[in-house]
Amino acid sequence: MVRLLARRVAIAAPVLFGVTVLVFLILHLIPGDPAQILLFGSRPTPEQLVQLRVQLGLDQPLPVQYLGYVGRLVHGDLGTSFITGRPIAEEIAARFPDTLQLTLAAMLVAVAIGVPVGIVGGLHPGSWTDRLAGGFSILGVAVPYFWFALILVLVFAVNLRVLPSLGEGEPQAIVLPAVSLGWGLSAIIARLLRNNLVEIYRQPYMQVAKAKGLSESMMLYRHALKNALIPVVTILGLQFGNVLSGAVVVEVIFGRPGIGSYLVQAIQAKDIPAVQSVVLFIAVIYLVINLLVDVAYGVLDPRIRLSWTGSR
Amino acid sequence: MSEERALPELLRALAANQELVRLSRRRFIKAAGTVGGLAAGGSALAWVIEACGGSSSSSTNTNATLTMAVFQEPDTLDPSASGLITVGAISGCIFDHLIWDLPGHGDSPFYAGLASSWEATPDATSYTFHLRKDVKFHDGTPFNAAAVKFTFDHIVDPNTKSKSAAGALGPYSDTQVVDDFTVKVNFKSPNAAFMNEVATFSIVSPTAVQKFGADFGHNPVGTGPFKFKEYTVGQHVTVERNPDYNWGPAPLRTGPPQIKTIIFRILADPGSRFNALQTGEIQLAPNINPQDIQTIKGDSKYTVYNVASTGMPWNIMINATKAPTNDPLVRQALEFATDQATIIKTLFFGLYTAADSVYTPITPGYDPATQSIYKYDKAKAGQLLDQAGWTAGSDGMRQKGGQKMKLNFINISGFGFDGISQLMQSQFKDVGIAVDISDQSFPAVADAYNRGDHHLADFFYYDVDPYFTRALFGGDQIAHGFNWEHYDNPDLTALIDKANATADNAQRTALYKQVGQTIMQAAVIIPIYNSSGLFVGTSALKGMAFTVNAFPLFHAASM
Repeated sequence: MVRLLARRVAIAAPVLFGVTVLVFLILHLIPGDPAQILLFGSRPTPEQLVQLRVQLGLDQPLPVQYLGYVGRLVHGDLGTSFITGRPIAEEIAARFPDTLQLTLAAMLVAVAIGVPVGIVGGLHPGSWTDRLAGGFSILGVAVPYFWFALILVLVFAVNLRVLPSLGEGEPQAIVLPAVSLGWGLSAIIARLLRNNLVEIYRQPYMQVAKAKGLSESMMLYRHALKNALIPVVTILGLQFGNVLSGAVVVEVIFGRPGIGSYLVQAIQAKDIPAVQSVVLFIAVIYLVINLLVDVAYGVLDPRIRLSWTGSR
Repeated sequence: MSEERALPELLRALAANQELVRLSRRRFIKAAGTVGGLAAGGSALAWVIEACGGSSSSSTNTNATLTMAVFQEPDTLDPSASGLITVGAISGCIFDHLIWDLPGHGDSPFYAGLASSWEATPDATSYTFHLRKDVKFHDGTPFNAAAVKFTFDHIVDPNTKSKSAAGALGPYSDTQVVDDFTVKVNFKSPNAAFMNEVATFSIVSPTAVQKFGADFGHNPVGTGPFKFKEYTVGQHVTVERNPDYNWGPAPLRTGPPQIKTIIFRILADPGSRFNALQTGEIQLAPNINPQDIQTIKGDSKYTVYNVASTGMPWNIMINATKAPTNDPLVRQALEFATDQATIIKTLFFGLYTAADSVYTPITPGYDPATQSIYKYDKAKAGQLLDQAGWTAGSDGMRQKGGQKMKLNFINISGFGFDGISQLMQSQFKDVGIAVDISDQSFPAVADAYNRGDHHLADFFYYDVDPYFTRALFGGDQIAHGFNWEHYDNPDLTALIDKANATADNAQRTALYKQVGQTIMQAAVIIPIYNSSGLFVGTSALKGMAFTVNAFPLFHAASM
C-alpha cells in the first residue's frame, strides 16, 4: 500500500510538471495582451501599457517568467490575480468548498439513484422493471444536465415553489443543483451495474452458490454486487472530472460560487496567474481522486490487493 | 443572445456578448476579458416611468431588504480602479459624486452633489468646485477639499491600476486645494468632456484607502446613501442604509434611503435571473433576455425598465480605404440596403429603437436631422451601385469589370452581433452584394481591424460624453486606436478637438452635431440599434431611477 502510494506520487510529479508547462505555454501563446485587456477602454498610452506589463512581469522572456512561476509555486505561492490583485490561494480557498460540496452531493445522488436502479434491472433482465430501468438510463444519458437543471428549476422552483431556484443559502438549496448534476451519472452507473450483474449471474460460481441454496439477497450482496461494483468505482473516479466540469455550468445556472465559474472568468480576463493555479489545482484533484480509486479497488477486491503485495 | 442555456453559449455569455461585455463605467469597454456588462456609467439620470405599479402605494417598509441580481463578479469595489459595469451599480450606493447630471430636470442639467457650486474656465482646462461642509464619510472622516484631491490623485496613481476612471479623467494635471472646501482641478490640455465625466467619479475616503491599501477594493468607504456591509466572493455584496445621509441629489431624495438593505446577488445566467425574479428570490434584475421580457409583457406583477443609454449605438463600421468600400457610393448603398427595423424585430422583439446616428438619441450632440439621411430603400441601394459601376449579373450579383463584389465581414464572436451580421448578409444579398462572415474573438480581432483586413466590422461604445468620437474617428487612431473605419478626415479630427476645447455647453453641442453629420454623410458606419438597459423588477419596488448608462440608483427606492 505504501509502495503504491509512493509510486503514485512519483508518477504525479512529472504529470504536474507537464501541466504547468502546458498551461503556461497555452496562456502565453494565444493572442491577446493581458495589459491591453486590463486597460481596455481607458485609452491607455503606450507608456501606460509598458508600465503595466512591467508590473505584471510580462516584459521578461518566457523562460524567465516560467522559472519565476515555478519558483514561487515551490514555495507554495500561487501568485496574485491580475484582475483583483488578491492572492489566488485565497480566491480558490473561498470558492472550492462550494464546488466540492456540489460535486460530492451530485455523486451521492448518482449512487443513491444509480445503484438501486441498476440492481432492479440486473436482477431480472428482460422484465418490465429492467426495461423501465433501461429507459431511465437512456433518458439520463441523453438529456443534457444544463437543460435538465432548467427543467427542474421551472417545475420545482418557479411552478411548485417547493425549492429555491438559487442553489445557495438555505440547506435545501443544494437539492436541485445536485440532482441535475448527478442525474446523468446515475444513469451511467445504473446501466453499467445492470450489465455487470447480468454477466455475473451467468458465471459458474453463481450457479454453484444458487445450487448451495443461498438466498437471493445473500447471492446479491455477498457475491454479485461486490464484483459488479468494481467497474462502477472506476467510472465514479473517471466521471469525477466530468462532474467537476459540469459543476461549472450548474454553478452558473444556480448562481453558486465555485472554482468552475471562477476559472471561466479568469480565462476570459486573461488572468494568467489565476488560470495557471486553478488548472494546477484541478490537476492535483484528479491525481488524488485516481489514487483514491486505486485504493478503493483494493478494498473491494482482495485479488487486486494481493497484486500490490505481490509486487513488493 | 437567445440560446444562452447551451454550454458553449453559456461560456460565451460569460465571455462577451452584451451579457458579459466588459464595460468600464464610463467609456465603452468591452473585452473578452473580465466579464463585463451592459451600460457604462455616468450619472445623468434617466427617469423611468413606472410601467404598471399597483394603484395606491401602501405604506413604505423602512426595514425592507432588496435583492438585486448582478451579472458578474466584481473585480474590485474601488470605483477608481474597477473596469466593470456591475461595480458601477454597487458603488453608486456607497459613493457620491461632486455633481449630478440630471437631464430633463430644468434648464441646467447639473445638480449639486458633494459640490454645491462649480465653474469652468472658458478654454475648459480648469474646473473649480465649492464643496459642501456638512458631509462625512462612513468611517467618520470629514469630507473636504483634501478628499477630492486625494480621489483624483488616487485615480491616476499607477498603483491603483485604474481600468476606467483614469481614461475618463483625460489629460489630468493636478488638483489644487484652494481652501478647506474649494478645489481646482487642472488639465494639461482642454478637456470639456470633464463636465459630463465629473458626474461619474466617486469620491473615496482617504483614511480608508490609506488604511486598507490594496484591500480597499474589499472594504470600500464613501459618503453614499448606503454603507458597505460585506462581500462574499462569488456570492453577493451587501450594503446597508447610511442613516446620516443628508446630501443626496435634490431631484431624487436628499435624506437617508427608504430601503434598509440591498443585497447584490451574483447571477451570471440571464435565465437564472429571470427564474429567481419569478420565485421572488430577487426583486430586480438587469439584462433579462428580450424573449423572456415578452412573456411578462402586461403582467402587473412586474415592471419593465427599458432605460436609454448614452454613447454610440450598436453599429457596423465600414472600411473607407479598402476597395470596393472606399467608394462612397458603395458605402451609401450599404446604408440604404440595411433594414434596421427587421433586425430589431427579429432578434430583439422590437425592444430597441433603430439607430440613425453615431450618437444614441440622449447623447449630447445627437441631431434628429440624421434620421432622414438613410432610410431602408433597396431600389435606392441598387441605383447607387449601378452608378458606382457595379451592375447586376445574370445571377443578380453585382460585378464590375468581370469582378464580383464580395465583402469581408469580420464579426467579433459572441459580442452580440452574430445574428445581426447574418441578417445583414441576407439583406445585402438582396441587392446583389455577397458577404463573407468570419468570426474572431475579442481582443484579438482588434489587430485585424487595425490592419484593415475587413470591409465590415462591428462595435458599440458607451460614454457619457460625445468626445468618444475622437477615439473612434480620429485620424491618428487608425493603426492602434478604434478608428476601424480607417477614415482619415483631418477636418473632422480638428472639429472634435475644437469641441473638446469649448467649455460652453450650447456651443459644444452644436459642434458635436456637426461631427455627427459629417460622420453620417461620409457613410462610414451603419447604425443598427440604440442600446438600452433592460431591467425587470417586481412591481412592489417603486422609485427606481437610472443613470444615462443604465446604472440603477436607489436613493428614492422603496418597497
